[in-house]
Amino acid sequence: MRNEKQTTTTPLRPLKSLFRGVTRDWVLIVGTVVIVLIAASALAADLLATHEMGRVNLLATNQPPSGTHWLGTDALGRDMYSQLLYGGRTSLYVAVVSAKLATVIGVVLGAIAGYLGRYVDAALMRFSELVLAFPYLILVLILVSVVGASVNNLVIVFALTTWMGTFRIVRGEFMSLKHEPFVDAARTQGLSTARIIFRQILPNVASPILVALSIGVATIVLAEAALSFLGLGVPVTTATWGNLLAAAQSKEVLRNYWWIWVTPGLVISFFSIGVNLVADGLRDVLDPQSAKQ
Amino acid sequence: MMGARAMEAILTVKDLVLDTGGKKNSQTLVDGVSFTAYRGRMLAIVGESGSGKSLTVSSVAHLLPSAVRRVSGEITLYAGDTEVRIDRLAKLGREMRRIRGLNIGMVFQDPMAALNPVQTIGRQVTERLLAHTRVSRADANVRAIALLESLGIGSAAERFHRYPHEFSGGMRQRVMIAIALICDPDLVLADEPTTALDVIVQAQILALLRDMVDDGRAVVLITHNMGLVAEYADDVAVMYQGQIIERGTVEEVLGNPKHPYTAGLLRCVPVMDMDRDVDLATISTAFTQAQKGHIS
Repeated sequence: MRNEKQTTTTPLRPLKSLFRGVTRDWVLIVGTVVIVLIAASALAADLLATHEMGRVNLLATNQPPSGTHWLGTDALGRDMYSQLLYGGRTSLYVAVVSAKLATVIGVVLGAIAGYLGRYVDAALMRFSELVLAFPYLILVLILVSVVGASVNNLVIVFALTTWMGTFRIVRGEFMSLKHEPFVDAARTQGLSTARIIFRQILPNVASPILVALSIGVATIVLAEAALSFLGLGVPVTTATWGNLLAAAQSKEVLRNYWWIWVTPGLVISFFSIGVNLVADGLRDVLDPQSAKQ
Repeated sequence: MMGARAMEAILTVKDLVLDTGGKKNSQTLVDGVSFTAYRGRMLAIVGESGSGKSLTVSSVAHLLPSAVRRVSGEITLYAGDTEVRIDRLAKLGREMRRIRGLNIGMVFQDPMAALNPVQTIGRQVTERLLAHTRVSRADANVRAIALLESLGIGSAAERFHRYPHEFSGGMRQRVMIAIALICDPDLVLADEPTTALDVIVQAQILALLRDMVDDGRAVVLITHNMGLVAEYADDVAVMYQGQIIERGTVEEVLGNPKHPYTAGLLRCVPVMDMDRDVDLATISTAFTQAQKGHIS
């Protein structure tokens, strides 16, 4: 009854706009659910794991999925399901912390370069291009060989090699925002340059920064997997998604023991897809032009 | 200015010259402007676009655009017992910032653009107070709310946490005025504060500026609205091509313009009972007519 009444009284919305509204929410919801599920299970690894972290059992190597080992075991008889949960902790820790660090570096440098302009901007721009142009893997190799391979060193390496995207976004936004009348108004109030940059202008750039941050997390999860696959990432004694995937380097594993590499691969894919969906949804929600429909 | 009772000067500008300072085609933008703003008087600077009004006022706040390369002249601000030569201070120095914050209030043309879209009204009004004085946030909030109420923003305490886009144009301009007044400056510079507003709101905003003058502040109003000048200002300075070509009290200048340009400017204002069949004069026609002595 009520539905009928509504369709007769309200004019029909164009089907396209209706669909757009639904997809936007759908994207954000699905992405959030995937990320939250993966992150929560990694955090609750102690409760959810069926086996001790890194527990070697040479009597049950390369077992296919079964009642005791839900996702099978690897070449050393470690339970893949538990390893995945604990590995998620390290992988997500690396990704989240280094993405945040990279964002801080990018935001601060980008804000300063964009606002001050001239030679400060030129210098920071050239510096970012230098980092950007340097072959990524070689840079990581050098840094890892200098500071050594550990979880926190990896965080630093990622932070130092991924801030350039945020830097450029923030710099561009500042370059246009600094000519807004409200910045002039702030200047006539005698506010200091630092106050104008960080308290007046920066909040206006919050949404692109947030989107860049979430994409950064996904990028670093993938980068960690790639580095670990090459044996340059987190030391193999610590489980990470990338280290688990590294087992697929052996052709024998690839051919005969699919459960050892399919599941970490799926988790990594789902997570990065989830993050990208959230980033997409955030972009729409945070865009003031589309927010008021 | 003319009524020479012992008036207290708040700001004097003497022989201000601004130019673009290039070697080949240097352009003089403001050419030897002098004026004084007195406590309790509203000085209106009128003139067409590009006559140098806004630049003159920007130079008082020491915030000229970078295209203006050469500045000469004296700008003196009388703050309490001290005289400050603004033109001698460093543009971005701590001292100049303090003067901008505490001694000069500015009201802008477009209140939407001059307010930060992502900060609440309350934060924007209190920011200046928090930056320049040692007050607690709570005290600053109380002061700001009282000020907003006194400027005609009803239930200011509730609206305190709202964003600029939730306010109407007139209300936004009141917020701008609150930002200008929060540190209780002696001098208020209003750069075409009513251009973006409708007629009724224009009158309300001008009445607020008038109140400031009656409270003992000096207000410098930039406008090209002669009607507002006639109604609210005390003194007028007419600018044309970077120079002040006529000055005096409102009665003197509007009642009996001496310079043909001023006369021309006044002919461009529509008045009640004017001949409907005659086109309203524009500056170029009015000016040439006036120069030829066609003024009635």
